[in-house]
Order: sequence, then structure tokens, then C-alpha cells
Amino acid sequence: MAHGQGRVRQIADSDTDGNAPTPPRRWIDHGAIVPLNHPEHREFGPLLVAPGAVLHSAQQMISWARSHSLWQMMFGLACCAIEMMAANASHYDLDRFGVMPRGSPRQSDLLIVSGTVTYKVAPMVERVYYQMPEPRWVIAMGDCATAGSLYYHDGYSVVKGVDQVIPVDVYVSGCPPRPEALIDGILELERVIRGEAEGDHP
Amino acid sequence: MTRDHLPPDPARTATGAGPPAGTGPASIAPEHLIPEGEYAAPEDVQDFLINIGPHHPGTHGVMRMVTRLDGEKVAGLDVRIGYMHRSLEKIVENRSYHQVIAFTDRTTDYLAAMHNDWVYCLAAEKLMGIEVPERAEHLRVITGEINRITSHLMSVGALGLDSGATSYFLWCFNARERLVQLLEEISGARLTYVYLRLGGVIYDAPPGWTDRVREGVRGVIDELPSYRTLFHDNYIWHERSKGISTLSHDEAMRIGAQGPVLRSTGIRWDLRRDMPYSIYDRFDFDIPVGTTGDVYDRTEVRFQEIVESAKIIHQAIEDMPAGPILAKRVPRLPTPDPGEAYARLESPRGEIGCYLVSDGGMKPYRMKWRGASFHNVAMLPALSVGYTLSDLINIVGTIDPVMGDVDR
Amino acid sequence: MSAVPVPGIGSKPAVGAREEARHAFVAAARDRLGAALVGYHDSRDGAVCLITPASGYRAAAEFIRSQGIDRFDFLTCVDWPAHFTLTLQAYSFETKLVTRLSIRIPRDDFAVPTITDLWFLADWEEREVFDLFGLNFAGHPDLKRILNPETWVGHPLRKDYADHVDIKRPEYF
Repeated sequence: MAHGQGRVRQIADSDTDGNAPTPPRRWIDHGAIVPLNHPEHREFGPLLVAPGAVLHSAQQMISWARSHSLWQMMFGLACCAIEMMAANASHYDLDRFGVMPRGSPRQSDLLIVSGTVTYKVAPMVERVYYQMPEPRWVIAMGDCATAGSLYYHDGYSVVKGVDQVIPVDVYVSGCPPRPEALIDGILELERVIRGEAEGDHP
Repeated sequence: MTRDHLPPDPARTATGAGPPAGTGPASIAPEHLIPEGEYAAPEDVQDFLINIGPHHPGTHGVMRMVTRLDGEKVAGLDVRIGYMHRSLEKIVENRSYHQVIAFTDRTTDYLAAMHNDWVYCLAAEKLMGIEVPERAEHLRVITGEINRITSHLMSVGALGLDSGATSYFLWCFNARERLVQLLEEISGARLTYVYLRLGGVIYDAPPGWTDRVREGVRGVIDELPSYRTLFHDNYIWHERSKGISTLSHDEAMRIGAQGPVLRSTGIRWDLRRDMPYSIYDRFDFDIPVGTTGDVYDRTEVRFQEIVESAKIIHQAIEDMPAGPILAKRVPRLPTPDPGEAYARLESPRGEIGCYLVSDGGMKPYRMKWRGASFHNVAMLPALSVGYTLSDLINIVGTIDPVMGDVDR
Repeated sequence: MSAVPVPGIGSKPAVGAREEARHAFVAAARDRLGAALVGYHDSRDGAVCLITPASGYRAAAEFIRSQGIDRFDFLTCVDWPAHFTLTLQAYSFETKLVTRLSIRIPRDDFAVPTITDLWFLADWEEREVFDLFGLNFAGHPDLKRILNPETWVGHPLRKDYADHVDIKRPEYF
């Protein structure tokens, strides 16, 4: 049977002989039409239902595109900024994920708060956040940005978590987090963005 | 391509004067010149204020520079700091002596965390009279010098990024990453090591680590000529750096320049040789100095110090004895006698110091952190007035401030 | 060189040129400062510590600067229960002699004379001490807060400072 004739077929149905189900081959089984709320969508994005054809709602398509082109605001605060630079540099290479550092908040979608936020710099963090066009997302990188960390007690000048200033989508723990942890946080944010289309954003 | 292959440059004479009249691309035919006086500024024209920061990629952190511009030249500069003030000195007053180490390597100069822990340990060991075992001293030297190389690579790489050489930044980070992995192997962390303890270090070198350090450092040193070809001998970089922000001996002494900025003026001053701490008096190494103290020389001093650090690492590995790595009888809750102690050390950014005051209790009564970047940033107006705004970014890059060290 | 008794705590003998420079410095200090020099000792980290009354601070700083002590280390303050101690440290490029000057300042409002004209770096250090301890430096060209925002209330490194966020840390020891 030719591809793309609209016949709904389960991806992982078992053989007629009763053998074990074959693992799904998502990009190869072109004839498959998968329900839109299939968990694979959350993981990878839209599904190719036929050669050159994608079945998706517009909202899901947009969020899929957004999730793979997160332009990041270059906002280095403290030690975590060094690991953020390391993640952007040649070894870890965040460009693979479509994350590009930008110099201006007007061009960026993602604010990585990399380091301790003090009371003196908090208004600037807030201003940079509101200068970014919607939709915008925030990653609190490191324990300081998450909750104040080492400076929680006696740190008179430290904001106890950047979420007291701006809303945060993903928290990455670590002091500082390794670049792998930051990459994991960005992948988690991509899942969050793709989930927004289905209305199950927390 | 080396410097010899470059075309002769009439613009940069020995005195650093500008291009001779009529040779530069900006030369205008006389008939097109606007008669003088026609464009004289009116009386009420004011200088132009531009605010850079606190968040700006060129400030290497969160620092605010309010520049007063006369045309494109910086006529005045007001540096405002404190955006990364993390109340280190208050926190330290409420922690025990051992707990402070976790704060010194995060809160202060986080690019050279080993050195910050080291200077705190030196001060506390002076206060308590602790002798550090020989092997621990060697491990401190090796890790400290590796950290110096990573810090310098970061510094010159970020300078390349500031001046438009993005690929140079990627090269430097590539080399830095390999050395960071060596530090991670011995200390367990990539950036904030907390590797030093009062009276020694916490982990011994894993098997084969010293060989890997030798190989890794030698690999980086072997690559340096290609880095030089890419960036330091680049004609564009020469144009951007030579004769910019020159600093004389006397001026450097007056404003109290630190570290590579001081050495770039020709003053051969390095605490590792001149006021030796730890076991630095045993090693044979040179102190690279510049001549004019301009942006080019400061970068060059840092770049050449990488080679000298590698020399020290090889010698320290060669001499490293077996033995304990941590002094015995260091109490878990030290209560040193009342008194004060100061230790200083040559970090990648210059001279850092730690002044500890004890009242006989379990916590330091007072700690004063003397950061090299704090003093280097204080002299920024003296360095940059008279140069253009685009040079200002390079000047900030060459004094290499780390905001954690400035604001603490 | 006259033998000067050194009542320092745990002083360790210095050698050579540094020892000579130290003797010359101490002799000059006794000579020039006279009665204003309350005492001096060698600290356990090898610095020569001069102690003067608060009124002799400026004269002692000028004396130190005149002895070729050109390298400024730090200026800081310690908040003791009864008084503040203002400590200045500098050293010499030539002789590598480290000198420290301590004065006691009463806790009530007291203006210390500035030393920004002697050492360039004292400018920011004095602003820092003003910010964190609230000491006033008379004659400072631009005395304002440096680390904390200018609207900050209180001087954080005083022992009686009350944190306005006030998250109490449990006493572990």
C-alpha cells in the first residue's frame, strides 16, 4: 500500500504472528499518523506523516519552532557565567541546539540568570527581562539564582533567589552547574515550551 | 605568518604617533576640506554621556561605566561597582575557619579559585602556625599554575571576543577545557575547587595524573605558536592595540597597578620571585615584561606567562616528593590566639591578599580581602581617558577584571 | 644602628637588607613622630606595626609615605566592642618592608583625615570603609557608598548591623 493514504496505523503494533512489537521507527514509518498528544511530540517535535508532509496544529508547530531556536541573552553575572561561556564555546557547543548568545535583549528569547543576584543588580535583571520581547523564558542557573545558596544566611546584599524578581521557567542546580547540566536545563525548557501548546504548562 | 611578513607599518612609529599626513585612508583632498572655523562647536555644546553597563558584554561582569565623550574620545569616566557585592566579609565572620574556603573561591576571583583559597590558607596558617607538608606544597603549586594558565587563556580569549576575534575565543576555550578537566580530575570540580585545606590539600593526585598534566600542558604550549599567528600577530590586532592606553613606569607606580598591568610597563615585579611564598623560591622561571604598557603589551605579558607557568609545573612535578598531603593536628574547630595575619600572593590578576583578625574565638573576627581587580578597576579612568570608546572595551579587557574580586 | 627592643608577639628574625631597612624605619619613626608614636611591634607575619593615637594618623601616614613606602596594600577597619581600629598597610618596592599603621577611633562620630593624596588607591578603600563601617573621612574628594546602593540604610560590617531581610542562621557551634 502506498504511503500517505490516510490509513491510521499503530506505530508499534505486533506482528500477526504474535512476535514482539517492533520498536517505533518514527521518521521511517512514513505512513503512520500518530495522535497529537503522543508523548513523542513532547520529546522530539512534530511528526512526519508522509514524505514531506507534517500533521500538526499551528500552535504546536510554532512552539516546536520556538523551542529549537532559543536565542540566549548574554547576561553573565558571576561564576556561573564562566560555565555558561564554556557551554557556548567549542567543547560543549550550545549552537547545536540552536541556542545562540545575543548581545541585546531585543533579539533574545531566553534569559539565563547565571549567578548571584544582588539587591543592587536586581533592578537591572528585571529591566533586561522586560526589555525582551514576548515570548520569553528564564532559566535560573545555579544555586544562587535559584535560592541564594551559600549567601542565604548572612548575605545581606544577596537576593534569595531570582524568582523574587522575575518569573523563572527552569531551575538548574549546581554551584556552579556543569555545562552538561545547563544543556539539560535548556532541553528541559524546550520540553516546557512544546508543552505550552497543549496547555499543560504548570 | 609571523610579524616579519607583515607589511611595513608607517602608522606605528616608535613614539606611537599617528599616520603621517596624507597617507592614511582618511586623507582628504585639500579642495574638499571644510574651512576651519565653519564647524566650530557652539558654546552650549556639552559632552555626551554614555552609560555602559551594568550589564554589557564588554564589562566582563556587572560593572557600570558612565563615560563622558568628547566626539568619540573618552573625556571622563566614572566607574561604579558593587553590583556583585556578595557580603563575603560579613559571612566569614559567622563561619568557622574551615568553612571559609568554600566562600573564598566562589565569592572572590572565581577564575582563579585555587589562588584565592591559597591566600586564605596562607593567612590562616600564619595565624595558627600550621606547617604544610612538602607534597601538599607541590600539589598547591601545580594546581595553582594550571589554574593560572586557564585564567590567562580565558582572559586573552575574552579579549579576542571583545575585539571581534570570535574564533580565537573558541580556540582558547578549547585549550582551557582540557586543563580544566585535569583540575576536575584531582579536585572534583571544574571551577570552584575547594581543593585546599588548612594545612595542605584534600586529595592526593590520582594515579597517572602527573603524566597527564605534563602531556596536557605540553599540548597547550605546543599550540601557542598557532594562537600567536591567529591573533597576536594579526595586523588588525596590532592596529587595535599598539599605542593604545600606554602607561609609564612612574604612572603605574603612582596609581598602584597590579600584576600583568604593572609588568607590562617594564617593572619586573612578581611576588613569586620578589616576596616568595610557599616553595616558589626553588623554581627557575622568567618574568615576562613589556615596554610601553599598552594594550598589546598587557596581552603579550599574559600570553607569555602561560609558558612560564608551564615551566613551573614541569619542575614541580619533577621534584614532588612522596609523603602526607595534610598537616597533622589541625583542629576541626580551630581557635587561634588573638592576633592578626596578612598573606599576599600573586594571582593571575595581580596581587591578592587576605587580612585575618582573630579574637581567640572559633570564627574569624574580621577578614579583609584585598582584591587585585579592585585596585585595577580603580585605575581604569587613568588608563582610558583620551582614547576612543571602542578602545575602552579593549582596555577593560586587558586589565581583566573579575567582578567577584572587585566587589567581593 | 641602635638596638631597638622589639616587644612583638611571635616575631621572627628578618635578615639582610630587610632587617636594616626595618631598623632604619623604626629609628626614623621614633625620631619623626616622637610622642605621637604610642608603640610598635613586629607582627607574626613580619610587618612592622606602628600604633598612634587617632590624632596622629595623618602625620604617621605622611611619615610612612615619605619613607618610600609606595605600594598601598589595604585600608580597613575592625569593629571592636569599645572602639574601631583603622588599619593601613603598605610596603616598599625597594626594601620590601611591610608597614602597618593602626589607630583606635571612638565609636561616636569621628572624622578621620583622608590620605587619598598620599596613595591613589586609598580613594576607593576609604569609600569602602565608609560604606561598610560608616567612618567619615574628612577631605575625601567624593565620599559616597561604593559597594552598596546609595539608598542603603546602615553599615553592614558593623557588628550591631541589623539585616533588613534577617534570615537567622542556626548556631552550629
